[in-house]
Amino acid sequence: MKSFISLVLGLAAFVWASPAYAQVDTSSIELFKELDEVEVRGDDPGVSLSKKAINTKELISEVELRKAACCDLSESFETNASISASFTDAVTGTRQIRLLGLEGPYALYTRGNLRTMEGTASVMGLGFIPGAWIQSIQLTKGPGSVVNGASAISGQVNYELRPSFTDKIGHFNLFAGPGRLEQNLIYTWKQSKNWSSNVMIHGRQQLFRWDRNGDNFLDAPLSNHIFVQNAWKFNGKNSEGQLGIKFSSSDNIGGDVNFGRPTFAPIWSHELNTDRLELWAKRGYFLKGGINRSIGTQFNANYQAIDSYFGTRQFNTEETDYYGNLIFQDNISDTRHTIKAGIDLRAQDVNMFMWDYYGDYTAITSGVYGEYSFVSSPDGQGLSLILGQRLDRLDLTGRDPMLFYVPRLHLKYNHKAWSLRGQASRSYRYATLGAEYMGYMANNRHFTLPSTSAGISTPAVESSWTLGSSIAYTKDVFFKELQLNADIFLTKFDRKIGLDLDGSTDSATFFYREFSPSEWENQPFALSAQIGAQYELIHRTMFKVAYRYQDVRQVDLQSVALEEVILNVPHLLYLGVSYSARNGIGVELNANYNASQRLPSVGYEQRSPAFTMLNLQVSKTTSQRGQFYIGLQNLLNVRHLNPVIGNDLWFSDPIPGRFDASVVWGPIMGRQLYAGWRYDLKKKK
Amino acid sequence: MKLKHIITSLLLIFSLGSVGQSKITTATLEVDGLCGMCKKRIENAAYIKGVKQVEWSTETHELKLVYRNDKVQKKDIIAAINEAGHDVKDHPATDEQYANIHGCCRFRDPEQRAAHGLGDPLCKPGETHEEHHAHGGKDKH
Repeated sequence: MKSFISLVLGLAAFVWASPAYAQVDTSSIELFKELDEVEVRGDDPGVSLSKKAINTKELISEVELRKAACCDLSESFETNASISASFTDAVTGTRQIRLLGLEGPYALYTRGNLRTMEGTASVMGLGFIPGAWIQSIQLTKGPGSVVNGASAISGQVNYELRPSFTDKIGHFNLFAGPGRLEQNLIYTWKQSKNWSSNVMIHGRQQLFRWDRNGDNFLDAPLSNHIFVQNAWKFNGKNSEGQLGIKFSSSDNIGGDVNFGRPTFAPIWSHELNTDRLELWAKRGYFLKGGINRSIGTQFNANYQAIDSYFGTRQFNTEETDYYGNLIFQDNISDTRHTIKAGIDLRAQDVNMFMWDYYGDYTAITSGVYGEYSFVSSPDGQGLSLILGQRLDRLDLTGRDPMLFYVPRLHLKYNHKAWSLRGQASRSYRYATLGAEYMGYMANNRHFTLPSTSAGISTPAVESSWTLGSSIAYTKDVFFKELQLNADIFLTKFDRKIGLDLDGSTDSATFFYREFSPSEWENQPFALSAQIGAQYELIHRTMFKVAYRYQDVRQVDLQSVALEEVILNVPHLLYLGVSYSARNGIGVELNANYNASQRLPSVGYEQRSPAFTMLNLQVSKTTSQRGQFYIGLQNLLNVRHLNPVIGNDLWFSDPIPGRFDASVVWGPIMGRQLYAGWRYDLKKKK
Repeated sequence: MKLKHIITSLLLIFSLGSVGQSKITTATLEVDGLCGMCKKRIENAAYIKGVKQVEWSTETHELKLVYRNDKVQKKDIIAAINEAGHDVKDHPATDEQYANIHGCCRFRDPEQRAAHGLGDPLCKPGETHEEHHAHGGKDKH
C-alpha cells in the first residue's frame, strides 16, 4: 500500500508537471459537441442514436436515467434493450451486464474516456458508480477506438460524471426501497476562472433482513456502502486538465437469515468486504494551427482489496493497477483527415486466492498505436472511416511475452435520413478468473482450473474477431422524429476460456481452447441482432420497442460440437412508454419479455421459464422542490423462487449434499415499492 | 429490402392517421426570456395538445410553432405561455404568473437582462394585463 501511494504520487506529479498533455477526451471532438447538446427537456427522448459517430453508439442522457429506479451503473440499463443486467448469484446481490451476449468483463468501461474498472473490479465495479453521480452514458456496440486499448470485445460503456464547471452546483438524492436506503450528495464547492472542484458522497444501506421467498436465505445482502470522490478540473487558455480521487468501501453480509444470531447448527453465511482507491489525472494541451491538434496524457492508479468468504470457501484479492497513455492528434492536409498516435502502458499486480487456487500474477502491457480517420463532411453526410491499428506486448508472469497485432476498421455512410455502418475488429484481453466469475464461489462444487503444478492459475488470454453492421433511419414523420435502427454483431473467439457446469452437480471445470483460423467453424461465438423503433405516437408520449436475438455458443466438453452457453436470453422483447405532462408529471412503463434460458444439464430443469419484467414509475418535477418519484418494480411479481439449492442443508465443512446459489435466471426480489427525491441546486446569478 | 417496405407502410399508417394535413399551420411568436432554462420552460408550456413542434431561440427570442388549427388556436398557445410566466409580444403575463418564474430567469429585471446582453423588455412593466387580455392584445405596443 505504501509503495502504491508513493508511486502514484510520483507519476501524478510527472503527469501534471509536463507542460504538454492533452485533453484525453481524444475520442473525437464531435463527440463532445454532442454531449453539450444534451439538456433535460420535457420531450427529450432520452436515448439517441448518434448520427455523427462512426461507431454504433447510443447516448443515454440524464432524462433516460431518471426513468428507472436506477441506483448504480449496473442498474442503469433497465430502459435499454441493448444491455441486460442479471444477478451473478443468489447471495451477493451483484449484478452483471451482458452486451452483445457477452458478460460484463468483455466490455471496456471508461470514465470520461479514461479506462477504469478492470481486473478485479470488472464485475463488482459497476455497483460502485452511483446513478445519481452520472450525467450521461455512451454505449458503443462492438470494439471501439484503439486509443483506449485492445480489449472492449463486446463494446464500450463510457460514463460522464457530473461536471464541476456547471450552473447546477449541487445535486441531492434520497432513495428508499424495501429495506434499502440511499443518499447522494454532490456539491461544487469551488469555481474560479481556471479551476473548479466538486465533491460526491454516496451512502447505501440495506438495513433489514429481507426474505420474501421464505427460503431462509437473504434476498438481498445486508450492506453498508460509502463512496467519496473529489474531482478537479482545470480550464486554461490552451490546455485542460482533470484530477480525481475516489474511495469506495462496501461491506456485505449475505446467506442465511440468521447470521449473527445463536443457532443450533452451523449456518451458511457470506461476507464480502471491498475497499477501492482510485486516482486519475488527464492533461491536454491544444497545439496551434487547428482545432484537432492536441497532445495529451491519461493516467490512473487503482488499488482494490476484496476480503470475503462464501460458506467455507475463501476468496481474497489485492490488486494494484497503473495505466498511462500518451496521445498525439493532428490533421493531415485539412480537417477531414485526422491522425492519432500514441503509446500506452498498463501494469497490473494481483494477489488472489480463489477456489483453493492461488491466482497471483503480474501483467505488463505496453502498446503503440496509430489511428487514421476520415470524415468527408462536417455534418456527417457521406463516407466516414476510422482505420486503427496497435501493437501490444503482453508480459504475464511465468509466460513468454506475447505480441498482439490489433487492426480495427470502422466505416460509416450517411445518406439523407439513412446511416449505414460496418466494422471489422480484432481484440484481445486476459481474464482475471476469480473476480470475473465471483458468483460461482457461492456453491460447493469442486473447481478445476487451468494451472501449474504448484496450484497457481495465471490469467487466460482471450482473443477474437468482431464483424458488425448497423443501419439507422431518422426522419420527421408528421412533425415528430421517428427513429428506426437495426444491428447485427458476430464475435468469433480464437482463444477463449469457458466454464462447464454440465459434468455433474458437484464439479465445475474451467477450460481453455485455442483455434487456428482454419478451425473457424469450431470457434466459440456470440451472435447478436437487434431491431428497434422510437416515436412520439401520442402527444407527449414516447413509445420505444425493440427485439433482440442472441445466439452464444461455447465448446461442449462432453462432445465435440458447440453448445449454447447457460443463462443466455435468446429472445428479448422490450416496450417502453414514457409520458411527460406539461405540469411536470411523468409516467414511465417499461416491460421486458425474456425468453427461456438454458440451465446446466445436470440437476436442473433443461430450461428456465420465460418471464416478463414490468416496471412502473410516476414522478412529479417542479423547479422549486425538485423531483419526487415513486415506482413499482417487478409489477407482475415474477421470481426465481428457489435460487439457493440446498438451502435446507445442515452446514459443516465439507457441506454434505448439494449446495448451489450460482445459477440465477431471473429476479430474486418480487414486487417492490420504492420512492425517492432528487434536487438540483442552481447557482445564483 | 424488407425494411424499406416496413418503413413505407409505417409512413403510410402515420399519414393516414393525420387525414387533412392542410390543417397544419406554422407560426412564429416573439416570447421574452433569458436562458436555456427559459427555453425549456417556454417550449414545455407551448407544447399543448394539438401542437406538433416548438422551438424557441435564445438569440432571436422567436418561438417557431407547428400546430393543427382545428385542434388548437394561437390564442390558446399564447395563454399557455403566459401561464408559465413568460411575456408574448402584445400579451404580457400577469404579475401573479410572472411571480412563479425561477429567480435566475427574471427576464423583466434590467440587471439580469444586461447580464444576458439584452435591451428593453418585450412588454413594458406596469402595463395592466387584464386590459390586454380583454382587448385580445390588439392595442399598440
